[in-house]
Amino acid sequence: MIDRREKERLFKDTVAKNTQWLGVIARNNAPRGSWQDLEQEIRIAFWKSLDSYDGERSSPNTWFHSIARNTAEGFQRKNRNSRKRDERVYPNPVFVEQDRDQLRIVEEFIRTLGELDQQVFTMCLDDLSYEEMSAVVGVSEVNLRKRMSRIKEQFKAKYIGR
Amino acid sequence: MELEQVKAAWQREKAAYPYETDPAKILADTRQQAMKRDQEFARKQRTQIICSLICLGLMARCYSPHNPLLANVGLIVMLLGSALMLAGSIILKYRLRVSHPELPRKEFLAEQRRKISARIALLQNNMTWFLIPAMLGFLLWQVTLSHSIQMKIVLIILAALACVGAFWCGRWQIRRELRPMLEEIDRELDE
Repeated sequence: MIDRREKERLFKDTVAKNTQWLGVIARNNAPRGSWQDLEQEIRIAFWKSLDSYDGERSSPNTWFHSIARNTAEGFQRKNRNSRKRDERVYPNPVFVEQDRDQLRIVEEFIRTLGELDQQVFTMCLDDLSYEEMSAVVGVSEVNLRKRMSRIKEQFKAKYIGR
Repeated sequence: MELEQVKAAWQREKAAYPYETDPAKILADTRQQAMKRDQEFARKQRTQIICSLICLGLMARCYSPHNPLLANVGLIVMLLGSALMLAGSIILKYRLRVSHPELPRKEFLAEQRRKISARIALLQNNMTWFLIPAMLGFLLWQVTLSHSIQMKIVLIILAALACVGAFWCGRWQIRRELRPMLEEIDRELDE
């Protein structure tokens, strides 16, 4: 069991490194009104689990990613009925006016994708590395690259030059 | 329309999403919330235990050596059934409290599955082994003590309605809430 100071240090460092990534997880797995609830769920789960963190089996980042993924999936299962698909796409209702068309296109395109592809595509838009994506969705990087290239092809065929 | 343009629009939109970035503030908030949850859990459990003990104690006061044997037997059966149902629910809540989201996905899902199965098993056990005997005990106790036929009929109807209601609630919870979650986890485990 780690001591209190070490636990706090690990928590602060890991959360600081993953703040934006946590936002992506929340946006991908919770309806608009519940993003902060999910983020908090994940942070609390991480904080509690740090008591059993030994540092030998995995890095704090990998540990955090596993917790985030499992907590988000559990949260999704619990909130399945209240989840509205549309709300996942327009995270902020007051989006920049000139971006409206592009975001509409993203929405339209995302609707045509399967669930995993939706997640991968939104993470690509969020500029996550393949390593980070792999930790989120639990799919190998090689597989993700192939998947992403296929998604990009689909996107190009539909919208590029339109 | 280029993918990069779309990406930039998405990024601008994301930038408008408010992040709390001060790690010390996040830590303080998380620690406070975690503590609050633990306290809330302990408070709820304490309240449930105290209320259960008071109710059981009040019912136990109805025991009297002067009552007919059947009434006392009924009372004891009802008390035992109720006590076992309450104890089972309190113990299960403690057992299910600990979660291990740091485990690999499959192991975590298996853990979640075990938890849901345990809740289903508890509800089924309560409905099959404890609820019906407790209701029969209640009937035996009250019907033996009451003198008018009308009262006995009313008691039987009330007990039957309560039993059916509790049974229906339990089955509804299993069918609508727990089984779908279990099936979803099974599907995810099979993927």
